[in-house]
Amino acid sequence: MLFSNEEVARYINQHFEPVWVSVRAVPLVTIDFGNEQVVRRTLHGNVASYVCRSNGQVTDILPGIYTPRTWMDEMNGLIRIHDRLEAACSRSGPGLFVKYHRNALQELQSPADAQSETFDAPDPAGSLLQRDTRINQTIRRQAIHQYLMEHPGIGPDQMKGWLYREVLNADLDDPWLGLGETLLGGDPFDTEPDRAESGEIGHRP
Amino acid sequence: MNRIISGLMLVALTAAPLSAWQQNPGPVPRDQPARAVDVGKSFSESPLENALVDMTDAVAAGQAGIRHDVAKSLVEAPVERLLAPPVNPAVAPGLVTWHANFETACAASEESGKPVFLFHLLGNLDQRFT
Repeated sequence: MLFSNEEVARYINQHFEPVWVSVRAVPLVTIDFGNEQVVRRTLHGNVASYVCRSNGQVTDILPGIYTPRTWMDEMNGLIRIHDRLEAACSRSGPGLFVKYHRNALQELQSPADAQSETFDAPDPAGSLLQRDTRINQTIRRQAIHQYLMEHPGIGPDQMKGWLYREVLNADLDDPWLGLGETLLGGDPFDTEPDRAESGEIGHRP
Repeated sequence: MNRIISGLMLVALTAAPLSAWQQNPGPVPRDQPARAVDVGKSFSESPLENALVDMTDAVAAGQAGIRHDVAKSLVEAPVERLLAPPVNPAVAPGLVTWHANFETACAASEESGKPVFLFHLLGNLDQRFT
C-alpha cells in the first residue's frame, strides 16, 4: 500500500493535512473452490487523491492508482500550484484557477507534450500499474482539468459522483457500481444462435 | 320370516371367522408346504409392520414440523458469527497521521497553511480490502 511506504508517509505528513474518506463500501468477491480453498478479493476499487484549499475547495485531483514516484512528483507540483492559487485567489478570485486548468488541459491535448511525459523506468512486474499511471496522467486528468475549469470553487462532495462515474468508471449511485451488465448480463454463449444461423459456427467439415 | 333373517345373520356371523381362518390357518404342521407357512407369517406380522410404518411416518412428519435443523442453525448462528473470521479484517491505515474527517483537516490547513490532501476510496483504508 502506498501509505505504508515510509518515504511517502513522511512526505505526506510533512507537506499536507491528510484525511481519508470512504465514498462507498468496496465490493468483495469470494470464490469457494470446494476443497476448503477460498479466495476473497476486491471486485472493483478505485481511489482519488484530492488537493484542496483550507476552505474545502478542490485545487486539483490525481485520479486512480499511481506508481509511488510519479504520485509524489505530481503531488509536489500540486503543492506549488496550491500555494500560487491560494495567494492569487484571495486577491483576484478564481481567474488564475481557471487559467491553470485551461493551460494544463491544453498541454495534455498537445501530442508533443504527451509524448515527452516521463514516467518511472519500465518494470515488467509493475507494467499494469505503469499503464494505469499513464492513463491517469493523460486521459483521466484531461477530463478533470476540463471539469474543474468549468466548475471553479467546487468541493469534493459535490464532484465525487461525477468523478467516479465519468472518470473512474464506477458509478456510486448504481448498486452494481456500473458492473451489472458485465456481471449479470446473461449467458456468455447468448450470441451463439446468431453465429450458428450466420454459419460462423455449427458446420462440420 | 324372522326365523329366516335370524338364520341368515347366523350364517353371516359364522362365515366371516371361517373366511379369516381359511386365509390364516394358524400354525402349520411341519409337513405342510412352505407356501402355507409364509402366508401365515405375513398375516401375523402385518399389524406390527403397519404400526412401524405409521411410526416412521409420524417421526418423519414430526421432523418436518419441528424442523430440528433450522432450530439448531438458529441457535448456533450468533456463536458462529462470533467465531467466524472477519470478512474484511482491520489493518493499520499506513504510516500517515490522518485527520479524523475533512472538516478537521480543513481547520488544520487554515492553521498550518498546508494544503489538504483528501484521499477518496471505495471501502475503508483501515480494512484489508479497499
